[in-house]
Amino acid sequence: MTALTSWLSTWAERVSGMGPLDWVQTLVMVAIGGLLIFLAIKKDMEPTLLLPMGFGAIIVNLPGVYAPASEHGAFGPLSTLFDAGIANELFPLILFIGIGAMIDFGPLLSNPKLMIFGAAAQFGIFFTFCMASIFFDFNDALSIGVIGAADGPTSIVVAQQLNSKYVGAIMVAAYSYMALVPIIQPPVIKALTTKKERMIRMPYEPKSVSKLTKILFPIIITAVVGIVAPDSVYLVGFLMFGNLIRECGVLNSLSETAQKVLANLITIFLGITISTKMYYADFLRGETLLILGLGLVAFIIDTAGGVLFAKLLNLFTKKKVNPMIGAAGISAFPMSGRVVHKLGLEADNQNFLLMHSMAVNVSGQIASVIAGGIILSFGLGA
Amino acid sequence: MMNLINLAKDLPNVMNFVDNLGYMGVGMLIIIAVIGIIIGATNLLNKFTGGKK
Repeated sequence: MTALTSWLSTWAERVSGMGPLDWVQTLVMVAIGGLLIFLAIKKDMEPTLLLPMGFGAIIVNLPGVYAPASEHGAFGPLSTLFDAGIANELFPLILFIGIGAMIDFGPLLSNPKLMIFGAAAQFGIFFTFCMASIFFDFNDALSIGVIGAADGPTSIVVAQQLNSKYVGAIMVAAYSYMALVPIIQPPVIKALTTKKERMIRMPYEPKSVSKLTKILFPIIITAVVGIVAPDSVYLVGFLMFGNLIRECGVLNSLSETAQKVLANLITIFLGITISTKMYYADFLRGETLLILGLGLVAFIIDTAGGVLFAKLLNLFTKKKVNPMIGAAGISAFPMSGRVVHKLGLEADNQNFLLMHSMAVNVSGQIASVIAGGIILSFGLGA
Repeated sequence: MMNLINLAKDLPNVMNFVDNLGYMGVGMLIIIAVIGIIIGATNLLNKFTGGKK
């Protein structure tokens, strides 16, 4: 009986501060958690992250779970995980090793000039930062801009290092829009290109790439980026370290572990841990909606930047590129590359753009990390 | 038109957009420069390590 009374009083104490609005907001967050799980399972939208985030959102918003006075953190083991892996940016950086091990830079190395489209498609990051600076302070605006990197780990690292108050909303926006790339990009691409442009064929002429090139490439990228933007050296370095493991040829078991076990483990922890930033009192604010809107702007401007840059290039070159491949320069891999390939086939059923669009898509991964580093240096230097 | 400009000037922080355009320019310039260096380095690598058609 005493135990029951004690349990009841503890629970009552925790929920005593909740007014009617808090209960409604709690229900809304549980519904959002449910929606994320639904989108992950039923619509197959970034399920590896949306499902843990959705489930975590339900956990942290259950009445009585939030315990700010607890010595183990407001959300117990989730807070411990957050401190251990996200507050110090360890999880996203380790995840980069796995991502690096998954990437085949072969098609890009075979045609390096395609990398320029990866750079052009980062325009949305900086444009969105300028837009966000109207509503948010400098470092929050920078963190919101990085949603346009279409790269979850980079968004987390930048938002954490710049001490943004909106990590949860930024994460949700980044991963949701990555999943929505097949819906967001086609109308933007079609609005900016004519059917004739979409029909431009780009014959794939693969060149052999030596093993030495594949080994030296990640080392050179790390060195160049590290010198130019030292704040991004860990972002790029971990990504390229994973790729070096893959390409060196003597660490196959480590490469497989990085691609599968390591990446999967970190993804599980990352998704459920980030949900600690989805507590209703922090998440259900007007700013969250604004961040979601700005995230959409970032993806649209990224896409437009890539396409328009390709069109501009076509004005000065004899060998025309299909301007749609510029849109694949965002980091959402491989969704963006596939979208462009599909639109090419839609315009002309013999127009195979896959190898080019994937090469540009991979370059977007490199460019987005560099952009993240530049944003970091702006924020840390301000 | 002038009314709109005046209205925009009165809104809080709206001039931040203009003030931060410099960051946009510098950011894009750095990215394009870095990617340019990487493209050059990769072309050299391909040339000297046997990349061929």
